[in-house]
Amino acid sequence: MPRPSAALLFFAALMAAIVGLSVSPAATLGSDLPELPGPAPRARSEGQDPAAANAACEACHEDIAAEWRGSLHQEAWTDPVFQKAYAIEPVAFCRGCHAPEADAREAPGAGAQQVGVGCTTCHQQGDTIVGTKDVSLPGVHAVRGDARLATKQACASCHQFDFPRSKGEPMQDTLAEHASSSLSDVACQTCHMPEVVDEDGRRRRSHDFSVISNPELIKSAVSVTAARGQDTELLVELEGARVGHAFPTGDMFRRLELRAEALDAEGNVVMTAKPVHLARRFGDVSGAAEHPVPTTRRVEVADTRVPPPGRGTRKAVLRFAGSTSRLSVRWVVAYQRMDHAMAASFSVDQARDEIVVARGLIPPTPKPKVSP
Amino acid sequence: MKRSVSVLVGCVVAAWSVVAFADKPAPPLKGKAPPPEVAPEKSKTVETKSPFDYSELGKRDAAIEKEIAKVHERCLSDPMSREGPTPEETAKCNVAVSKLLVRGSKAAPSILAALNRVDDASSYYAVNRLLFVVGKMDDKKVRKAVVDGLETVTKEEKEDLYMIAYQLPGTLESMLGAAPPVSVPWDDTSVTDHWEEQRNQAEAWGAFIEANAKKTRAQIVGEHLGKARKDKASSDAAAAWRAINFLVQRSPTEALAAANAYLKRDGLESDVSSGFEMLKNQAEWLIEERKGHRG
Repeated sequence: MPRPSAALLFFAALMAAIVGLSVSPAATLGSDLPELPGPAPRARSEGQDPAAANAACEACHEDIAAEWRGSLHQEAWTDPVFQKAYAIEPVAFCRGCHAPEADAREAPGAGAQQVGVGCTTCHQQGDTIVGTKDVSLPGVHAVRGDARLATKQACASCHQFDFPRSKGEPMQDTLAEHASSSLSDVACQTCHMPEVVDEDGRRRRSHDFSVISNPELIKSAVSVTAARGQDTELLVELEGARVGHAFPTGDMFRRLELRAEALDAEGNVVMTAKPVHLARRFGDVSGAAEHPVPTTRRVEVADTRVPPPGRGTRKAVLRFAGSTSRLSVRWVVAYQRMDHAMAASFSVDQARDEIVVARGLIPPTPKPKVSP
Repeated sequence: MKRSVSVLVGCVVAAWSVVAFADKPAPPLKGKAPPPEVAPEKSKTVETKSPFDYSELGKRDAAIEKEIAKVHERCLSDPMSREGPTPEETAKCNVAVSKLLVRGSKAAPSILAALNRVDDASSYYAVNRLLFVVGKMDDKKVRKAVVDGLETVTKEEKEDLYMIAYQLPGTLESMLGAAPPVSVPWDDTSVTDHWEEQRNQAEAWGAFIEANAKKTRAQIVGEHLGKARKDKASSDAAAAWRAINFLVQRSPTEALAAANAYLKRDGLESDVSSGFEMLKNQAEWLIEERKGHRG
C-alpha cells in the first residue's frame, strides 16, 4: 500500500484538529489587519520567543510533546509541500494558520516557523495557560478552563474559511460540512484527538492530530461498493462511514481517484477505464455583466465528493472501451491530495503519496448455462 | 455539505469563466506563458483549423494578433494559486483585454486561431480572458465555430486542450445569454470521467444552438427572462432553482428576492435549501460588485 511521505503532508495540517481558539484574530493588534482564517496574530508578550515559550510546555509534558512533534500541526510551516504552495502565494492569509505564533503581517521568525501550530497556540491566551477545565497545580502553574477547547470552536478558525476575495465562498468548508452531517453533535476532537491512556493510567486526548499519516483512519472514512453495470460499465457507490464531514475535506485540491482495469484469466490488463475524480471544482466568475472588463472571483462550481454522513451517497460510473463480462474487473479508490500535474510540480510522488481507501476484484460474469 | 452536486459546470451562471482544478492534469505549471509562437505573417502559412475552424469567419488580422500576444504577455496568474488572479494581475490583464474587446467579432478568427495553438505551456488566465472576449460576441457564425470546436475537443480528448474545453460552455452561455437546462445541485447524477461530462455538454449545447439558430442574443435572453420570471416561484423546486439561477447574472436584485422568498418556504430539504442559499450568495455578491463599479 502506498504510504504518504511524512515530509510531504502539508495539506493535512489544514485537516487535522485543534489549531487555535476562536478568538478574533484581529482583535488585539489593530484594525489594519487583513482578515485571516487563523488564530494569529496573537497577543504575545513583548519579545516572547515562540520556540522558548513552547519549549517550556514541552519540558514537562513530554509525552504530549512527543505526539505533537512531527505532527502536521508542528510542521504546519516547515512542511515542504506547504512551502511550495506558499512560494506561489506568500500572503498573510496563509501565515495566519501556518505560523500562528508570529504576527501574520510579516514573515515569521525562526522560532514561529519551528513551532508551527504549537502548544502555546491553543493553550496560551495572553499570559494565561488554558485547558479544557480549571486545574490547580500548586507550585507549577494554574490552568484556566476554557470549554471551547473541547469543541469545534477550537478548530473552526483554521478549518473553515472563505476565499480572501470571495466572502461567502468557502475555500475550506469542513465545519459547515460537519454541521450539515448526522454527526454534527460529535466534536472534531472525538475522532481527531482520540482518548489515550498514559503510562500512569491517566486518560487524556492524543495530540498527534494524525489524519493523512494514519491510513487506517482515512480508509475508515468511507464505505465503497462496486458492481458491474451495463456491459462496459463499473458502477461505484460511496457513502460516508466513520467520518463527520464530506470526504475528502480540507484543502480545495483533495480528491478521490476511482480507477478500474479489466483482466484476463492470466491476470493481464486488457483494458483500463478512464479514471473518475470526486472533488470540489472551482471557477473564476466574472462580475457585473455591464462592466466591459469585470473583475473575477473564485467560487466553487461543483462538488462531487462523498457527502457527509446522513446526506446520501455518491455514485460514479467508470466506462471501459469494450465489454468486460468475460473479464475480471479490478478497481481502486485512492485518496489524493492534489491532481497529478500539481503533484509533479511539487515533487510529490503521487503513487507513493496516495492512500488506497478501498479496492476490490469482480470476477467474470459466469457463462449462462445452456439447457440440454 | 454546501453543495452536493454534479452540476454542469459551465452552465451554472452566464459569463462564468471556469478553470478546472479537480478532474484533470492541472493546467500549466506557471503563468508565465509565452505568446503564441507563430508570428502573424508566418502563421498564415501554418494555420491549424482544429479544434476551431474559423474559415467561415473572415480573415485573421495582424494587428489583432499583436493584441492577442499582449493578452498572453500580460494575463498571467499561476494556475496553482488558490485565490486566483490577484487584483494587480487582473488590472494588468484588463488593459490588454479592453483593446481586444473593441474589435468585436472581427477578432474571432485570430482568437480562435490562437486557441488552436494552445498547449500546456500556455497561461490558463490568458486563455480564460480570450474566451471571455469571444463570449462577448453576438455572432451566429462564431457561436457555431465555438460549439463545433467544443465537440471536436471532446472527441479528440487531448488533455492539453481540456483547459479550453472546460471553459467553453461558459463562453457559449455568455455568447447566447442563456444555456441548456442545467443540473440542480441536489441531483443524484452519477459522476463520470471528465471527457464524458464535456461530451454531454457539447451535445446539449449543439442542440441548444440549433434550436436558437435564428435568434439574436437579445431575443434569446428575452425569452428566457420571461420564462424565469414565470418559474421563479414555481412549486417545482428544480424549475425555480433554474429560473433564479438564470436571473442571478441578469437581475441580481430580483434573484435575491426570489431566493430569499424560496428559502422562507416550509419543509425545504436541506440540500434544496443549500442550493437556494448558493444563489442568494451569488446575487448578494453581484449586487455589491455592481455598486462598487457605479461608486
